[in-house]
Amino acid sequence: MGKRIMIVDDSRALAFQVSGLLEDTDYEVVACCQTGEDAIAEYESIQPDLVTMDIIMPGMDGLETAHAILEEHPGAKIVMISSLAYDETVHEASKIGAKAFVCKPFDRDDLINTLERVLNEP
Amino acid sequence: MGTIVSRAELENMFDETLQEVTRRVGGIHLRQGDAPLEGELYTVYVKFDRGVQSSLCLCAEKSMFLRLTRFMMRREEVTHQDMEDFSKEYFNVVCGHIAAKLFEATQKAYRFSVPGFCSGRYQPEEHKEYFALSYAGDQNEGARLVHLVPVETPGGDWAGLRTDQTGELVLD
Repeated sequence: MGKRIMIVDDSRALAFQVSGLLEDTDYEVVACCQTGEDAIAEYESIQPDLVTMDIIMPGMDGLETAHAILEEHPGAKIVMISSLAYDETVHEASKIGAKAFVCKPFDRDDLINTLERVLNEP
Repeated sequence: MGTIVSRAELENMFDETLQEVTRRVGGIHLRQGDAPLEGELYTVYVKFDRGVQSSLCLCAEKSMFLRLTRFMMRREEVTHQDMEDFSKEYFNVVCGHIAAKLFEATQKAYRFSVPGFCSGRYQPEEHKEYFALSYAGDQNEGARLVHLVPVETPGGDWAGLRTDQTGELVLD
């Protein structure tokens, strides 16, 4: 059975790109949330295997959203996907409990290798 | 004490980032030059709201935004909404990389708004041009990257920004 991925990003372009890169793989995009608030509300019912999370979004940003999801669901596997890839942000994401950080722009191998690694972690 | 980043350093940082990201993300090779902005124009823009208060706008001919959208979507048929969404995503990457370079230079964290996109030339109210870089794409598309800062307050300081005695930008 494919692994179920939830994308949290206000950008339709990013959701399009990630969905395209995951075509014909063992990963299935089961939900795309455009705000952090939607992601928090939908996480419980969707129960994805992994969440990809943008940082810059209207309303709650991705770090706040990841923090809120992990407080309720400590086992959630969250991968940040952002262009804001500098030490402080990466460190903050790690401190919150995000499992990995993918820097934009990324290619298919970057994405799939990261998802595989995170999903194979205990 | 703030870190002084000279205007030349900032221009160089912005120029390198724009050229590299546009090539990698949009498949377009930009070169600096005074290509006139002609025909239908659009502007994609962000406001930096943490670390520094300024705005960055990229005004370009529609042909450039269309071309990078086709490249990012890997298809020829694209809609106006596609062009808006993918141009904003492209500029998000440009600004993220600029924020990362600013962090390297100053060890301060920078954040910016969700990108906006509009028809024509756009300049935020109460802002003035700090510098502008002009480009031509490899199919001669004109583009102009404009860095804007808030207009001077009566006290002489820009909101959240300072300049030193020689007029260089100080990032606190």
